[in-house]
This record gives sequence, C-alpha cells and structure tokens, in this order.
Amino acid sequence: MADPDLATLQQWMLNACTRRTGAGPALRVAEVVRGSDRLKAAERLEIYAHGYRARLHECLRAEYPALHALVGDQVFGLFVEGYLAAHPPRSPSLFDLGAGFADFLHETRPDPDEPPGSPDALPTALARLERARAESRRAPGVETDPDHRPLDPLTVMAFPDLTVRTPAGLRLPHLDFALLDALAAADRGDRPAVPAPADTHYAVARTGYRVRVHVLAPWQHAFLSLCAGGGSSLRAAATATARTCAWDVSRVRAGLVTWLPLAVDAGMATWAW
Amino acid sequence: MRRLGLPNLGDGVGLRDVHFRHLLDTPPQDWGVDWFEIISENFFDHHGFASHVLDHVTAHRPVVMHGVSLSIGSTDPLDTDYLRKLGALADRVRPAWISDHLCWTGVNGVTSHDLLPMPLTRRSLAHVADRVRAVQDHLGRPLILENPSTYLEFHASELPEWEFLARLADDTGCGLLLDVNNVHVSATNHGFDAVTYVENLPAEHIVQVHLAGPSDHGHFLLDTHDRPVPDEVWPLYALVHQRTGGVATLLEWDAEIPPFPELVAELAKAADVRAGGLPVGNRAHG
Repeated sequence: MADPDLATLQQWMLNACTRRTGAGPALRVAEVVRGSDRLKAAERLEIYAHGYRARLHECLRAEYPALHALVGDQVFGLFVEGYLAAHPPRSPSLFDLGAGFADFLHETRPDPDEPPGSPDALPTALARLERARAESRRAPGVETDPDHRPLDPLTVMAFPDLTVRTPAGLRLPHLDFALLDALAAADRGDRPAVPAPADTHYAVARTGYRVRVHVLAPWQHAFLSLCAGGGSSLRAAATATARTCAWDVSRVRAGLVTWLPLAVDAGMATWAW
Repeated sequence: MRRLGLPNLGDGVGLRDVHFRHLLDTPPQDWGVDWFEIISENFFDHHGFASHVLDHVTAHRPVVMHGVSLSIGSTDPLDTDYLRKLGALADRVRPAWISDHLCWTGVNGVTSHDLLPMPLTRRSLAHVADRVRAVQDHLGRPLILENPSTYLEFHASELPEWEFLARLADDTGCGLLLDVNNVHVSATNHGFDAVTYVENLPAEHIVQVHLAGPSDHGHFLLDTHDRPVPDEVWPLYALVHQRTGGVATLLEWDAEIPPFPELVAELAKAADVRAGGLPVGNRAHG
C-alpha cells in the first residue's frame, strides 16, 4: 500500500492508543509499524495504548483520592474508562483532565430520579468537593493579596460600608453528603466509611498555601456567595443574606461580628475600606 | 563554552513537589545543584504553593522550562493559546532556555499526553522545521528539542533519528537536548547502535543532556525515570562530554523519587564521569 500521509497516520495512531473505534483511517498495524524479533508491530503499538490509559488513570486517582479510596480500584477504573471514552483529553494541561469528571458522574448515575442524598449521588458529590480542593490549590489565593489582613470584630461593628471580597480560589459547594470524614480518611491513606446524607454547605479555602475544607452555616455560605466576584459592601451583603435566609438583618450583622474575622483568617475573604 | 549563545549551566535536577519543603527549609547554598528544570505545563495558570516555591528557586538558581505538550510534530495547527501561556510563563521565570520534544502528542484536538513518535521522513522533517521556525519566531529565542524514547518505528521512515535531528538543527538553528537515557532506550528497543547515534549529532547544537533510569520489561526498555542511571548510559554521557567539551546536565527522576540528598548523590556521578570515572552497579530492572 502507499505510505499514509502524516495526518492520516497520526489520526490512526491516536485512535489506536485511545481505543476509539468507528470513523477513522483503517490501516493495518503491520503495514504501518515495523515489527521485529524483539517485539511484533502490534506489541509496540500496545505499549503506547497502555501508557495512555495508565497515565490518565494515575492522574485522576491523584486528583480524586477520596473517591478512589471509597469505591476501590475496580469501580473507580470503570468511572475513568467511561469518562475518558466520553471526554478524551483536549487540553495540553493534565490539570484540566478532571474538570468534567463530577459532571460526567452526575450525568451517568444509575438512577437520575433518585432524591438528593441517595447513594447514586455520592460519587458526584465527593468528586465535586475534591475538584474544588484541586482548583483551590492552584488558583490565586490570599497569600500575596494586600487586602488579606486580620479583621477585628470592632471594625465589623463600626464600619458597615467596608468592602468584603472572596479570593479567586474560594469554592462554595453545596452538597448532599457529610464528606469531611471521608476526605480526612483518604488524606491519612485509609479507606473512608460511607458518608451519611446531609445537606451541607462547604467552603474550600486556602491560606498559607494550605487548602482546608470548612462546613458553614447556610447564612455564612449565602454571605460569601454574595461577596464573590467584585465584592460587596458589608451592609449590602448582610441585607441580601438576611433576605435569602428569611432572617432579620440584625441577626446576620450580629453573626458577622464574631464569624467574619475568623472567615478572613481562614482565607475565605479579604476586606478593604 | 556557549552553544547557540546559551551557557553551560552545570549540573541540575528537575523541580518536583516532593522536594518543595526541603528546598524551602535548606539554605540555597546547600542545595548541591547548579540549576533546575521545570515541566512548563505544570506551572501554567498556577498561583499556589508550587508557584511560590518556583519563585524561591528562580531567585537563587537558573531555571530551564521543559515542555511536554508543544506537539511540534502534529498536523494540527500550532496551539496559539498554549504558546501564549508558554510565553507568559517565560516572562515570569526568565528561563535560560525553553525545550520540548521531537514528537507529537495529539491530533484533531485530542491529546494523548504522551510523546508519540514521528515518521522520520523528509516530508515530516519539512513539516516540523516549519513549525520550529514559527515557534522560535513566537518565543524570540531558539527552541531546544529533545530526542524522545520510542517503542515503535514506521515503515515510512527514511532517515535515522540522529540524521533527522541533525538536519532539523541545521535547517532551523534549533538546539538539541540530548537525552542519553532515551538514546539507550530507543537503541535497545529498535536495535541500532547508541554510539553511532551520539557520534552523528551535531555537537555544536547540543545545549543540554538528560540523564535518567529506565525500567526493563523483558522485551523492551520503558522510559520510567524511576531509578538510578544504568551503567550503559554513562559511557554515552562520557562520549557527549568528549564531543561537546561539556554541556548543561540534568538528572530526571519522576517516580519513586528519592530524598533530595540521594538525588544530588546520583547527579554527582556525572562529575565523576567527566573526570574519567565510570559508575558501575546499576542495571535497569522491571
């Protein structure tokens, strides 16, 4: 046969490595790849196919250690195989590989009609929290932000017009499971117990280059959500939080006096006059 | 001696996260290495701890940016977003040079995250040369290209890899990152003579050497970077030193990574080789 052009050859080899079937160049491996006594042509191609799968599985195991520890090698491997088949990598950065993993798990859960907190939804919830941790590790944080400095309760009381912002690395997942113990177990190298269903508001925040996952009260979660983006005046965010939570605004303001300084310390927020 | 206007940086290692704490806690004068190499893509859009450590390292040592996703041999258009990020990182890091591999990583928008081999034909040489020139124009500096470990060759290939690289360097002015471990791996896998490979590269274009340890899978060697440099690689390194008069040398270790002092001890063998010694006792194992 005539030698395939470079584009044809590359598409054929990529299909072979990623095991994508269907449309694509139909070439016979022995006609394209040199075999030898040491290794047949197909065995040589298989080294690349195996390497493709091994590398991407390893990458996703590293990003989702708690989910991997919870469901085990076999099930996690099936999740990854399905994900890679549906979403082959398209970014030159391996960090982007896992970006759609939680959505994939959500879209392919066995019974989409199950209510929140059902076991089907657990892998998605854990994956969302682990992805939030991974994103927070890399995002711009408070470490070099001049607006990240201690905030004392008296300032919160006396200056309702100060501006509160959240850092780019803050993530605020709202999930249907209590997942902190599972994360902690995986971080220790242990297999987690199955997390219990629980409507839970999380903040994933970084300070001193360490990412921590916090459980927040719903009003705290609402307040930080309102301060995301360009920030908000303390007064306006407190008023909007009160409306969201059907609370009196004075109750939110009182809560902020004690909690907001702690949230700033934890890297969830910065403030400016 | 400077090659393509680039200095001999001495002996370096790859910057890996398991060593971050050691590097922050140890005075730079005690690091025991002359320079560091980073994987470029790991630092794209990165503002976390790794970025903080990189700032510390660049304040005290030269850094080289080594990429794995340029995909210089692909038939896809050059990824302008990738080149923008590469340029932005270079503006920040001020690397001594920027390197990648003679390979392709994907096509039609899908990437394998692997260093896939080129058919070594005159047509693909012209294709790669055009793209090297475009990348060099974009970056405003010579691109340094590494010979990859390969596990297959194409019937279509017309040139040995050393001749392909020599012609590419001559045509484009690019530099060469000669990975002598990769030469050993590919020579074993394909049955060519590793010494012939090294002797036929243009010495004046070689600006860096990679050292690493592969694993032996019985019928083939795999480029795993997970063990000491095997005995067979050191004579190749000695030959490169003889031919070049000395170039920047870097030890790669990417899995089963030892503590930093052990890494430095392995790197120190390179100086012994340059002084005329040849380490023995390490074979590739599966």
